[in-house]
Amino acid sequence: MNGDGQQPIVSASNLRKKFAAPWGSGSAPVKAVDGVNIHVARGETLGLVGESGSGKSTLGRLLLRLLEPDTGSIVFEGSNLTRMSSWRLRRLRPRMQIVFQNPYSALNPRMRVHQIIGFNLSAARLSGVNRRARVAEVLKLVGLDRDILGRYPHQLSGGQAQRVGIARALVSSPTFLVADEPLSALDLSVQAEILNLFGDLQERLNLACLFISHNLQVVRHVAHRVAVMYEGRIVELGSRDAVYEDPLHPYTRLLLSAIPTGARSSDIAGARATRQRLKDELRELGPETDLREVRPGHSVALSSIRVDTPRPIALAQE
Amino acid sequence: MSSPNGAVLRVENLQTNFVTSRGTVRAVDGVSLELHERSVLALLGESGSGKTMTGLSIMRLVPDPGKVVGGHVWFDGKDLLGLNPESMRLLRGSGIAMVFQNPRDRLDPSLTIEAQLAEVLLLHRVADTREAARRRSIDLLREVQVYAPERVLKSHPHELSGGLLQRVMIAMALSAKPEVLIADEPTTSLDVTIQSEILDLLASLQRTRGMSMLFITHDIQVARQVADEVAIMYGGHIVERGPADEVLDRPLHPYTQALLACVPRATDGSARLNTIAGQPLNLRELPRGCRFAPRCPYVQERCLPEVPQLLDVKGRRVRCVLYEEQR
Repeated sequence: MNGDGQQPIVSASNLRKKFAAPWGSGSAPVKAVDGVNIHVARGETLGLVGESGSGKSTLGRLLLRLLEPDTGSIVFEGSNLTRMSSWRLRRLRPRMQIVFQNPYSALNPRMRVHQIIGFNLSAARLSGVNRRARVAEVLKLVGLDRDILGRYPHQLSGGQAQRVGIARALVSSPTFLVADEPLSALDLSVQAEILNLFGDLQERLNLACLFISHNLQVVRHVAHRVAVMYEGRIVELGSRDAVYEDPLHPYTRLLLSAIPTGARSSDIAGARATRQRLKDELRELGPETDLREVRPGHSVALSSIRVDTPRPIALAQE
Repeated sequence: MSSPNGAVLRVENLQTNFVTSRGTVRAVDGVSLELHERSVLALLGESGSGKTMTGLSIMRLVPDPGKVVGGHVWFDGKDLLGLNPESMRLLRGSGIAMVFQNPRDRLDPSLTIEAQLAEVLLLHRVADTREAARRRSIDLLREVQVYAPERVLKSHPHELSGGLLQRVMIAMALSAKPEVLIADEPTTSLDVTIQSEILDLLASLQRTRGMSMLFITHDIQVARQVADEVAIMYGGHIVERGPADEVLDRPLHPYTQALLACVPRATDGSARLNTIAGQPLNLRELPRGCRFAPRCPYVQERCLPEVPQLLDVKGRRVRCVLYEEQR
């Protein structure tokens, strides 16, 4: 097992999930998640990147058993989630939480902020006083003022609403948090605030966090390790620096080469040729292979790679 | 056509208001800009800054209850705001065309791509028969690098990917040979790899066709990549405007400086990001003076009573009192 040797909070093996194709399309079912092995350790943020349709959100939901996997097993804090009764699962729910992309649609419009956050304490059976105290505590943790407690979601700004979403997830003291594109609906200046908040919380609460995003710069900022997902499979997994500075899989390199670097597009032809070459490489890849570790803490799903030849560092800037 | 490097499109003191029961929102508040021939101007701002409404006001497509209440939009010797609806309708597409953020919402789900392209081509008399329209459509789709144009023409929108639909929209926008293309967040709903393809495509079309482009975006890196000039919007105002690399490398306005500092740097990881103090603007309760004053680290008393002028500073325009002495 790679990583820093910490006991994983959650680990999944051989997860698979198929969805039926749209009615009447006659297509085969979509393999949204197709044989994924993954773990997240305490105090670790694992960044999960990929394009839309790569299966990253499905994987996040499977790990929380918000979706039922077709096959595979998920172990959360030592107990097997996949075989657990719904009654026992509910007792574990406070310890595994999720933050969604669009804070407005994720908050009940008819509840006030204190109700929204307090609702997730129902299972804790606290007295009214203790409950209010805990809500106030978590509110402070996410950097919100108390005067927000009586408001409805539509009275909040985007950044405030996302902080409420995070407060709701944290109020029950989870050990595992899935953040599913938590910044995508926010403006740049607000994104920076929420990103800083994630950094602080990570340090203070020692969470295991799966951070799902299509934005590679954001993931580079928050994650300790990065998993790259492509067509339902994890094709590259490693420490942040390994993946960003020495990407091995053509898909990872394609993603990195597509980040707008802000370079003036005088070299359009060159950049386009690079991407075309990577796309061809991706198409010519042989049959799907499993992830294998090519050096400590860096795995890739390629049957053959030329690891012996030194690779230029920072291909991203190519 | 105007003189070399003259302004193809000139917007003067544009004002667009939304009158609602809870007060008037001044979405666009005195915006002036020039789009030069064969160049790309990026209009950069966060949500609610008025960048999209500026684009829609130019096209006279502001949705209810919004109204353009003042200013001029000069194009081809005419003030578009004074044009009768029929002339304006013909000018859309042939003079100025627009590409939108989410192509799926802009196409009719019940018609084939062929029917929708033909409608535009026939309206603008680019083609006079269905068969001519079909041939012209195939050429246009090839020009936007669609590899199987015949198959795409037969498809309905739900059968095509977002990237392909955006190419169709671009083909449609180009069909009547516009001089100006307004692209409103054309890549925001797309994945990064597709985004880079569409950006490349727009840049090369702009060059080969000699068009001018007003590129509306919230993404600083995208703006840097496509634009010759940028205009930064905040609270309905343009706060800074000038050559793209100068504004984005050496920002003068405190808001531009603050916004650029929020970008996660690809180079270093866990460092803290800068943020902008205070709350985003409430458009119903705009401050009287400088819109950024409540969040500005350099705020002074003279920022508060009235909106600062756009000053000429080192070849750009900056709306900030800090630069009054340096003119």
